[in-house]
This record gives sequence, structure tokens and C-alpha cells, in this order.
Amino acid sequence: MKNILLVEDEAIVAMITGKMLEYMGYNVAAILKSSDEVISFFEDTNTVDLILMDVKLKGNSDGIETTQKLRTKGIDTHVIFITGNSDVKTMEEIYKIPNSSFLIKPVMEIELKKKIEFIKNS
Amino acid sequence: MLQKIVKYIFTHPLVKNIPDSEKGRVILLYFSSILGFLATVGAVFILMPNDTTGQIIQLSFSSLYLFFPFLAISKYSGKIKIAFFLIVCIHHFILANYFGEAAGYQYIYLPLYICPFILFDTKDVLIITGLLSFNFLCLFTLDFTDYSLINFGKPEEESVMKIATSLPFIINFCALLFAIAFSLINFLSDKSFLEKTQTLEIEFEEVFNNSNDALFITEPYNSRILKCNKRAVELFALQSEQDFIDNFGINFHKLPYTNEIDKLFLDSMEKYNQFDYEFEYISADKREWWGNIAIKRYNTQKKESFNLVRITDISKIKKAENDLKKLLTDKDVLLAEIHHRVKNNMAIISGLVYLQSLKIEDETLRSHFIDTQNRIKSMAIVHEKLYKTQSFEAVNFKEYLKDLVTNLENLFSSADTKIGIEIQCDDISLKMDYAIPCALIVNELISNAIKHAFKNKNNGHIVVDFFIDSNNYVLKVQDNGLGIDKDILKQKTNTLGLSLISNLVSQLNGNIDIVNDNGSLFLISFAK
Repeated sequence: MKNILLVEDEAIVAMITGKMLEYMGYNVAAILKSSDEVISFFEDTNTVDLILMDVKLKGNSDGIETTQKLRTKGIDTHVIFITGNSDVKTMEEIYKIPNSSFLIKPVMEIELKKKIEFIKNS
Repeated sequence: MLQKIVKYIFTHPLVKNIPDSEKGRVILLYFSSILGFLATVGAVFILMPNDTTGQIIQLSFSSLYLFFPFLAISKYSGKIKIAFFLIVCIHHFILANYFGEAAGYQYIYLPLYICPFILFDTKDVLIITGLLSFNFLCLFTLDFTDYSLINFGKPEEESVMKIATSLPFIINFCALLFAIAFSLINFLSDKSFLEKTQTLEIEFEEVFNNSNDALFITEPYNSRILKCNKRAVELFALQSEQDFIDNFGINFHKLPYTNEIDKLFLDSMEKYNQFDYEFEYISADKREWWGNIAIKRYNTQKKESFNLVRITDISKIKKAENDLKKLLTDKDVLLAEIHHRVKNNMAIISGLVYLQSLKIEDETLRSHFIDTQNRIKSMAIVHEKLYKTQSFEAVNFKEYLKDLVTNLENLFSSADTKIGIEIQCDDISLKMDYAIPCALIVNELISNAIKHAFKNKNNGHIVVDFFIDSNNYVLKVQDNGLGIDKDILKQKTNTLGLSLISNLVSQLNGNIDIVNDNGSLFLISFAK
């Protein structure tokens, strides 16, 4: 598990999370801002080992809907949702998506590290 | 003296409770009855000096006079009055037959008896006046024609008879005067009443037709419209009042009249005799509008039931209400967005602190940055909770503690040490002013306990308790670790963590007790 795709529409948050991943020794395959970019990205390649997906994305589809689209296309890469809301509705939607987990903002390095390690080991 | 008598009469219990408008009439009735009784007594003793049985019979019946006013002012039905009247007739029949022709004059009393009896009934006054007039004429004729016109037998002693017959003559005359006076009073008062009634009816029609609300009179149970006002025609954009007649209100409802509403209607009418609701109506010109309907059932004097229905156009109020609801929703959305933004900004601040920490190689120094990130996160969770609950004023502290503990367990858990964190907390909503300091305090205490209390130990247990004790909130954080260093206890502000806790407790105007008892115990209390 080396290549990680980061989907985050807020540049500053994307930068911080990207640096965090790099500091932890991972390669940020790309930083994408919208659902369309994600779908296009996976039309060209499928070399990422993990996706860090912000739940709230600008545009027509949010992170959960984007992941659902990926699943229908047969892309089964593990997705860690980064969410500012741990409300019941969001949690239920996340639990319905196979091969996914979540972290609550603000994400701290140690949390992310443990989460990735847990995914790697499971 | 006269004033005293009048006062006594008017304050007497028999008169006091009579309506003011009837008092004068009833008092006259009393007088006429007493006068009638006394006159009869006098006539009996003069006419029947040697007939004790006749006197007793006559007196017993004459005493009926005294009951007339009571009958008149009481609520007796017409049937009782008729029965009473028949008794009087029978009495006269018996007397006439008992005393023979000599007592035939008793018949002339008949109208006199009826006079006070029916006088109170205003509708019969004119009839009585007529009867008395006839009787008076009879007496008058009798007096001058030697009784021949009514074919009474001649009395033995003419002088006595003349006196005797003059008494009923006088009484009848008085009664006639009374009757005429009453007739006039009744006529005038009836005329005045009629005029007033007519005026009231006209005024009522004016009020009914010029009301700003649509008014209807409907049948009580099927709500068929019987009458409506001009505003109703205008509001429902119909041509004339006739368009409503025999129509039904529910025909103008926008939505179907459901069984639930019907049940509400029936229950309300049964309990309160009225019904109040809001419906959306459609006028003939297809305009949709909101109306407040108020239905009140009433009974007429003829014991007929009707519904008085008022419909007020409340479209403007409804619009204002909807605008207000939208504003409130917008406010909630805005507040939610603000809390979301605050939380996101905190995430960014935390990230920036993290980025800064990446440049630090010294692990101890770097851990201070992580502590700062942790403190930011503890506050961010409060904003998240506020955002989630949509209350924006208070946060469920038990739910908050669960999230905070999960976060701290994620941060500090390791394969080497097993630390269990137990939350014992009542369901308490904590205002924003208290929630943030409390959040930071709990974060500091648990972080400190995890980092320092269980050195060289494989496991540990931390209990967080938050409850209300009388008028105070009490926060209790206890661990079974090494306890606080005595030197640190003496100077509570020696470390940043304890300094923060001390200042946050001060911000809450609370007290803190730190005890070493098989570990450390922090007891913080502050007023609600």
C-alpha cells in the first residue's frame, strides 16, 4: 500500500493531509477536487492502493455518491472518508459502502497512521 | 312613611328576586289580589250572615286569590294555570247550585278571579280587559234593572243585596281600571319592545352584512348553509348570497375533509359547543387562500339549533408565518454552516500546527504541538456536536464525552498498554459557555492521565463522571495510576496542562480538588 489518492476540495486541507501522508512515507498519487475528476481519473488508471475521500465535495456529487459510482464501475479500492460530520445519516451511508472506513476532521497524523496500518493488516 | 312602605315592599324576598321590569306589575297584582280577597270576605259576611257553611266554603275558595300572584310569578306551565282556572269555575258552579239563584251573582266574580290570575301573562291582558268590560256592563245593567237581565233571583232583603252587589261592582270597576292600566302599559311596552326588536334586527342585519369576516348560519349537523353575509359572497367570489344557500362549506375546501378532521369537529362540538380550525379554500375565481373557521352552535327561543360560522381570511398571517418559518430555517442553516465553518477552520489550524511540527526533530518538543492539535480537536468536537444536534445552544455532554474518549483512545492506544476509559455521565445538556471549558478540562485530564499516570504499567483505568449535585455541575476524573507528584500538587500551575485546568475552572467560577487516592482524583464543581 503505497499510492494514495487524495480527494479534497479545500486546497489548504488537501495540502496538510498531503504533507501528512508524505511525512508518513506514502505517495500521494493525485489531489482531486471533484467527483468528475475522480471518475475521469479512474477511467485512465487504477493504480492507487487507498483513497482518502472528503465527504463534502463541491459539485453535483459528494464523496459518498462518488464512491458509490466507483463501486458500480467495479473499483473496489478501500476508501477512508474524511468527514466533518459524524451524524447518523452520514454514518449509515458510509457503513453501507463496502470496503470503507472513516476519520473525523481534524485528522491527526497518529489517527491516520493507525487507520492505514489497520487497513493494511486487515 | 310611604317611602318606607315602598322600600319594604321592594326589598321583600317575594319581590326582590323579580326582574326590575316586572316589579311594578307584580306589586299591583298583589294589591289587586288582596283587595279581591277582602272584598269577597266582606260580601260573604254581608250576604250570608246566617249561613256558616256557605261562608266557610266561600272563604276557602276566596283565599285562592292570595295564591294568584305566586302562580303568576312562578314558572308554572300553562296547563297548571288552566287547571287552576277550572277549579275556580267549578267553585262558582258549586256555589251557584248550593246557594240557588240568590247566589247566582257569584258568576260575575269569574272574570275578576281570572284577572289577577292571567294578568301577568301580557298576551292575555287585552282579553281580560274585554271580559272585565263585559262584566262591568253586566253589573251596571244589573244594578239598574233589578237583576232581570241576567235572570238572577230576587234577594229577600233588597238593601243588603244592593250593598252586596255594589261590592263586586266596585271591585270589578277597580279591576277594570287595573286591567286598562296594565293594557296600556303592556301595549306601550310591547310597542316599545317591538320597535326595539325591529331596530335590533335591522342593526343585526347591518352588522351581519358589514362584517369583515364571512359569516354563515348553517344547519347544525350537516352544515348546510342557510344564510350568509356579503363578505362571504365577496371572499368566495360568488355572484350572490343565493349561490351559497343549500350549499355546503366543505365544497370550497382545497383538500378533502378527512375523517380525522371530522372527529376533531365532533369532539370539539360535543365538549365545547364550538370548533376552531384552519382550512385552505378555493374561491370561485380559483384563488386559493387560508381561512380560520370558528363554528359556534346556538339555540333559538324556539329551541331550534343552528351553527354560526365565521371565516376569516388569514392568508396574510399564513404568509407571514411561512416567511417566519423560512427565516427560522434559514437561521438554523446559517448557524449550522457557521459551526461547520468553525470546525473546518479548526481543522485547518490543527493542520497548520501539524505542518509546523513536521520541521521539529526533537520528539519532546514535537509532542507539545501534538498536544495543541489535540486541544483544538477537543473544541472542534463541541462544534461538531452543536452542528449535529441543531440546537446551537447546548451540547449533550455525554455524547460529547463518548466522541472525545474515542478520539483520545485512537490517539494514545498502543499495543503495550491497555487503558480503559469509562464514562459515567447523566444525560446533561451543557451550554456553549460551559461546554468548551469543560471539553478542554476533560481533554487535559484524560490526556495527562494516559501519558503520565500509567508509566511502567501494562494497564490502567480512567473514570470520567459528570453529574448534577443540587445546583452544581460536578466533573470527576479518576484514575488508578501513580497519582500526582506532590511537588506539582503544591504548585498547581507548574505545568501547562494544570495551568490550563486551573484557569478554565476559574473561568467557570468553579472549584477544583485534587486528591491522591489509589491514583489521582480531580473533583471540579461549578454552579449551574
